[in-house]
Amino acid sequence: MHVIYHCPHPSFSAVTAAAIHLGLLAPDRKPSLRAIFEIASYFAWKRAKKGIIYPVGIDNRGNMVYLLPRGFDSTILQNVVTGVSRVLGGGKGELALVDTDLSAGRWQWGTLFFCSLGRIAGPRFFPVLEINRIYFALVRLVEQQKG
Amino acid sequence: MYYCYGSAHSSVIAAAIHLKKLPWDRIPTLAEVEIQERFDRTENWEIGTPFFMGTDREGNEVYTLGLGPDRIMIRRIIASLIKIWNYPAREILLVDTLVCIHCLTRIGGFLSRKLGLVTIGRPLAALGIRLSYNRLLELVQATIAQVQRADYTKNDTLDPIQKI
Repeated sequence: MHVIYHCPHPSFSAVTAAAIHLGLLAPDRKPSLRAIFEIASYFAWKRAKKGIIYPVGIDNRGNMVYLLPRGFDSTILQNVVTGVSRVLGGGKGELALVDTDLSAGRWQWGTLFFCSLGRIAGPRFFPVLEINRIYFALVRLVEQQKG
Repeated sequence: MYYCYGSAHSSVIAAAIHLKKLPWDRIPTLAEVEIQERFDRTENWEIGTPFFMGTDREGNEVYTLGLGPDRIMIRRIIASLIKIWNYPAREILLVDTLVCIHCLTRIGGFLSRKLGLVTIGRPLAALGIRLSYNRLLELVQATIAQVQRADYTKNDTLDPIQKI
């Protein structure tokens, strides 16, 4: 099975979810801010290009795990991934597309603003703070996905 | 796979030409354009879904697809999916039909699909199709020729995400 975690590109939520899925981050305690930065750096997330599906590892059940950086709207992306996969012969149940964008309201706008700023300035503390806030929700999402 | 912005106009007509549902020797009437399956029918939430339009005489499946505003990102996703599913690159050809489109189709499409003004937008979009019909026909003919060319079918490494 192919598991694809996707989120708006500058946000770290897909990276964090993939790391939890692969056992690189502990599910029972929040990682330090430095650990989140290191995970993002480990997956070369900063240099990732929107739309490219990056393989990042295989989990203990043999499922391939991927990261997909995207823009802020995911509707077209979801239609394309599911529809084109069907055309290419991907069977139902062979692919899981997991949206890790759990932020809402001012956090979503804040992420958008600070991530855009981060492109110029470099630091991305807001996305890291956001991960700190939604970490256990991401853990639940990954556990739900793993079934 | 013919693609445009919303898979409602130019890609639908290109697929209809490919499948010989529209004439190759003359420009179709407005009514002939408007009655085409899926012409000016695709809703915004359906953008990105590939629609199967039929199978041509050579047995090739013909689809239409809308890529929305971020075409580069969606093309990258398709290229990634081809790799993930180990699909032979020579078996799929993506053709951009937006290069042939007339501005009346853009305006008509916007009025009909975005603003819901179907009564004004649809005939305008169809008129734009009539005005760009010869270019669309040439594009389809070039596509069919490329599919049939021996060098294309033998070349495994050909980039499927290309513009004709």
